[in-house]
Amino acid sequence: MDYLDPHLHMVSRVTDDYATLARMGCRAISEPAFWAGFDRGSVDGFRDYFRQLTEVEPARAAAYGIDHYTWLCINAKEAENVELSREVIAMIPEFLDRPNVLGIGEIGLNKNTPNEATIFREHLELAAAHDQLILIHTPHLEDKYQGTRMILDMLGDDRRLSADRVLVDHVEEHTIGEVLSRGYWAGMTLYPVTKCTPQRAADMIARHGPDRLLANSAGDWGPSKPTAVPDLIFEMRRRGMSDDVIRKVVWDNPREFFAKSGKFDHTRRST
Amino acid sequence: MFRSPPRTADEILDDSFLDVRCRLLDLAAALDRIDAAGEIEIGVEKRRRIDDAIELLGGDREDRAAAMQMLFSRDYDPQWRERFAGATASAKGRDKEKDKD
Repeated sequence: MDYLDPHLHMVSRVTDDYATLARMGCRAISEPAFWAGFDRGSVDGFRDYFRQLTEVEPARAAAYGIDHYTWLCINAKEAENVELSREVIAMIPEFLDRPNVLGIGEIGLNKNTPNEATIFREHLELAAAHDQLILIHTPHLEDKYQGTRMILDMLGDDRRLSADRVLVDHVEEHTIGEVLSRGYWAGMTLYPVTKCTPQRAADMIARHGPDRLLANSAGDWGPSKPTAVPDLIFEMRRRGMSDDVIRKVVWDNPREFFAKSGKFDHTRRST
Repeated sequence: MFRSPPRTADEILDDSFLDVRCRLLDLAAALDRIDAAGEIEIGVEKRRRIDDAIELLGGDREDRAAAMQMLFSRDYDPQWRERFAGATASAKGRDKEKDKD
């Protein structure tokens, strides 16, 4: 089945992964800007990273028939450096007109600190000023519930932001209901240890329904599996869920959300 | 609520049994390893949460996964904005003091 992976950090993956993704039916991916595993020291470090995301990765993906899209920001871990964060935010508009940029992301919180909240709000300001879609990272483990509620509070504070233009990622059993009930899109991340398994994701789809739900692998430089979305497809099929429901989660929903950017136009191959 | 095609409880149990058994054995073995290593000194709270989680598993509520997530979560304070505003004001005060030096 053709699918889209809405959250995959291919800068951290080898070219063989692109080949495997293509063979498993992946037609397009979106790659949010994230933490490289170390704190970058200057705004020029980010400028080079954004060139990688808007020039190098699309070419690498295209060699395997995969379309590459991206989101730009300074991530929550590096947001503790407020001065550098503001320099990066001021530089981002240089890249917003690039054809594969879908919006601002993955912004959010990490340890739920005052500096992280300040920079999160300034990213929201940037998105509102440039009419951009937003992709949000929610914290992990014990910080997730508190951080997700704080993020929803800040989103609600800004009346310029329409809920249907925001994707809140890494939802789990204790946060998915609040995110969906407020009208946002929700992403389930299939990632070993810290996030969600294909089995639990299938449970959440059964409990909450497939509307406004997306699934991604968030494959990156850590222990992760870039082909986790096909694992979810397999699990849903194994349970007897219909192809319509599966396709809604792995194709129709990401396609509908990304299309709001005005830059994403994909049709499914006839089968 | 959206419902997937119905499978009976027995079908799901059959499907899950070996996996659940394996995870329970892993849990039992991990607790054995911890206990065999002696008295817990720093991680008392962590161990208490594990005990609370095991107790939760034995209950009959329908949302065990969400409840367990909450068991391992920090509290959410709806007044966090005021708390952060105070922290920012204190930091600004400290910066002012520094400027005087």
